Amino acid sequence: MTETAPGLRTAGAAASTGTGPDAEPTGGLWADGWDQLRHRPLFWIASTLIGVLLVMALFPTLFTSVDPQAADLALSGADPSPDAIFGRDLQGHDIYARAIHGAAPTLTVGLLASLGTVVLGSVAGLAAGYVGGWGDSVISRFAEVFAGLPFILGGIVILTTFNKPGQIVGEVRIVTQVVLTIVVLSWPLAMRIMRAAALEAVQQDYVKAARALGAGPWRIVARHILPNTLAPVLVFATIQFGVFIGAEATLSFLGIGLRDPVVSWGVMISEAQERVADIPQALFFPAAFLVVAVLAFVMLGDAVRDAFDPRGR
Amino acid sequence: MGRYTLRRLLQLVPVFLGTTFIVYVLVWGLSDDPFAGKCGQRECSASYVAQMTERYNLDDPLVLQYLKYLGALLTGDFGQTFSGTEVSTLIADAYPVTIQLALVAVVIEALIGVAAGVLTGLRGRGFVDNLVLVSTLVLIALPVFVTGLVLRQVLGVELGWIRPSVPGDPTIGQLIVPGFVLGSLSMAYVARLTRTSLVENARADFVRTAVAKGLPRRRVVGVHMLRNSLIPVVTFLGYDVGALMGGAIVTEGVFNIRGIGGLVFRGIQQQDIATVVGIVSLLVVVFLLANLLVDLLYAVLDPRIRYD
Amino acid sequence: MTAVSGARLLEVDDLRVEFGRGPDTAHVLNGVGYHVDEGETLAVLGESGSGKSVTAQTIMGILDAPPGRITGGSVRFRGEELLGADPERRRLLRGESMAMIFQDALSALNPVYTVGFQIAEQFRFRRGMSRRDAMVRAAEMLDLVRIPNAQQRVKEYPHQFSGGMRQRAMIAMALALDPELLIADEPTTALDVTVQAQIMELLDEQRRERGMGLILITHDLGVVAEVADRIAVMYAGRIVEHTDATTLYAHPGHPYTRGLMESVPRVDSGAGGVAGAPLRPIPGLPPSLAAIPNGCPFHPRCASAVDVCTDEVPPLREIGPASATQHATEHQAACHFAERFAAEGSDRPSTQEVVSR
Repeated sequence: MTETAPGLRTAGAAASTGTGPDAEPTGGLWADGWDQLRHRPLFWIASTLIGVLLVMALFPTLFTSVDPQAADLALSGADPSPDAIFGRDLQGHDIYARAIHGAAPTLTVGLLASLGTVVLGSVAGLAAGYVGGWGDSVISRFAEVFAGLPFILGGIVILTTFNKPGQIVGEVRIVTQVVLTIVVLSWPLAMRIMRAAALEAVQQDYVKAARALGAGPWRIVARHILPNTLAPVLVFATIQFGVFIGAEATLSFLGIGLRDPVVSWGVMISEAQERVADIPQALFFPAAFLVVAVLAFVMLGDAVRDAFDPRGR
Repeated sequence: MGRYTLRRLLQLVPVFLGTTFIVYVLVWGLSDDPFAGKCGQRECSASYVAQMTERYNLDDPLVLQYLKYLGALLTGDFGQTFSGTEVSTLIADAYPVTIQLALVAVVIEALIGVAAGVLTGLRGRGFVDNLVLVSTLVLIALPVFVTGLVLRQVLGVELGWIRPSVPGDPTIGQLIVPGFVLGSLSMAYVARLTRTSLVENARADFVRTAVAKGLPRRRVVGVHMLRNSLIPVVTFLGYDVGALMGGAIVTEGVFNIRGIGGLVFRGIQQQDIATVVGIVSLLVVVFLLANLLVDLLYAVLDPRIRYD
Repeated sequence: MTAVSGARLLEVDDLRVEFGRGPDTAHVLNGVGYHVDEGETLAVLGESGSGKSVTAQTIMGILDAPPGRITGGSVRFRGEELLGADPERRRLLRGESMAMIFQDALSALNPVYTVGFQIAEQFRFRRGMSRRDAMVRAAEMLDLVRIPNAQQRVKEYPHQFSGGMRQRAMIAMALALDPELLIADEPTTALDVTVQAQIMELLDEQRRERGMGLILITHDLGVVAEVADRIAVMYAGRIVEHTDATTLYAHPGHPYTRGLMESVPRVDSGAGGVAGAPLRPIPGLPPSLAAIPNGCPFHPRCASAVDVCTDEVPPLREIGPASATQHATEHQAACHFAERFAAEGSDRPSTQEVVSR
């Protein structure tokens, strides 16, 4: 809403909630946000895409019955055909089957990494913002140590330390390593958001009042600070979900992230890059899946942010 | 301002120590046998091991090793690779290209991003606005290596407009496409940031005041709206220069540019620990100093920020 | 207090403005009309949301549109119709013929330029002065509004000024091109009481010296009492009462005006012994502008409302002098029973008493 004049606040409030004067004035932040969200096509497109991706990750056999590891070297680089609608890669894998099966590891990494980042970052940020003073300084400096490492550089250093190049590692181990690497390098971002929100909340009169009335720190954090910080952190988590999917692919592309036998879109792109001139479909299809997935999460995050913070649009 | 700068510089010290220490521990401390595979198929000779142990102070406790390394680093000595080349020579050879690439990228993202942001921010909703919004979403969703591979394939191989692999001592023209790839993500952010910031400022009270003073429209937009709106954009670009100088590994890999990213990547693949630690330390310093400079620049641009 | 002084400067007639579209359309102005003459002060009084500021912005031509939309009426400056006029013509009138100062000087001044720069801008772009000459003039303007050490302070930024000094700088900026009409939108609301008086004094003094018209927008009766020649009371986008200050205080013709007076606390013990008079706040809230009540918009909050009030919109009409002692000035009110209320008079203090508090 505009703040054209103080005199318009009444009119503005009525117009933005879409309720008459006799109806319930506002349904609170969440209801308002949802009301905004419902009317955005972007939100529905993104949600639908994410829904399809989730089904793909949970039940890949609904989409394909082909084993993603089945390779037929005789068919290496075959063009798209009814037999394999996206064609085959250098090893003769069915690209369609691999792209479908690639959803699960990719989304797993995205989900775990954004969860981990948000949890670790939020705890650190809340602690820093609420405690303030020396505690804040220590946590902030500590976060800067990790923020000071450029992401890819840090990822390379960490992952190559634990796995020598070319070393064969198990599926669970490499997924865990990639997730932890992303979390370790990204939590300062979430921490900053949470810290800023907590610092602001601590300054609010109602929090001071709650303190003066003898509310303990847990209660203040849970009742007064968390609810106000949830929206920005949620938006951050959604967008980061997409970003982390891209990050996983980048690490895989460099040969230090997920790798065979894990099938992820990043792994597929990494395998395809050498022969991109001869077998373009091996690069194109996983890249398309990847871009659509990242796009879906970024769009969702965008839509949610716009709904809860209408200043930008 | 002076005191603030000093305080910020002092704050950088623990961050620098922490980051370099972590990297040092990761690459030296956690490798069980630093000489594995260094001498072909054979075990390394005792004299070689002794020489290397001496050179890298491997008999000392880890912390002492690190401190000795740091001491040398502060005198400008980046150490030597296993094969005896000075790491500083390697850096001096590789860094200019990376700096050029980062600057090309920032210039491209600033020009296109700000132009797109201003265009949409001033015009408001409409076709151009939606076009730019969708484009920024796609750019954000495209990982750099995908953009890079696709552009290299299409412009380099299919159309033959550029050389798919950038030569050793490239001209600025040859760095334009890699620079675009490197800056594409930030370009999207710059466009959005400019747009949001303009839209917010367009409704600011001081803009209304400027209109009420009867200033020409161009003056209101150019001086009162743009200047205020571009402050966050300039800050973002400043941080980005710092980030891009350490983050060009993928782009340099795709276009085969022999810059610092390629150097550190090869160093890791060949387990050349001294190179890795040296470069990472340097990049961390560059990144931190860039951030400090941006903070100071911010104070100059926005007089409300008073640091003393 | 004079009822009529110089020539007619500004005339606003039946002005209508809406915000938004569809069923949620807010009817912000519903036929506002007032006029200002040379050298005279018109106070526009009302609660937040009554449309005071939107009227002023429409006059200045700085209404945000969209979301705002002018749907009817006219604004004439020295007889020239402004609504629908060439935008460039309107721009040239701003600053030169009419200027405006805002409530919150901190946000109304651009934070990244010095105060001097922002004043000098007008000399540079409207008078074609050089940067240096304009800066000298800016310092003179600051001196004029009695900012101490003006030479030095032109080079400072708005955040380095105190609240009162910022408002003075804002006034200097508005007066730079010597406008004929000054609109002051709640100029003292954000300030300390002592500073408020100084700012009002400054405004009044400048009005007298320059012979300019002054529209003083406020919700504070105390501010108005001393300086206003005439007062227009606004409610829900309409003028509900309009007369000179003395008459308004002695014989408020609209129950809303009366309500406003009764909700002002008194701390002195004046000769009338009314200091102990109980505060009677107006019950309820101003109506939502998207759903203004039928009939008299004030009826849901009016203690004296009867059936006719819910059915018929009372027009703003001349009610004539309420007592023989009064000057034969115009007195309009938009209440079906305005004469009765005016005759009853106010059980509140007279103008002088309000002023002296």
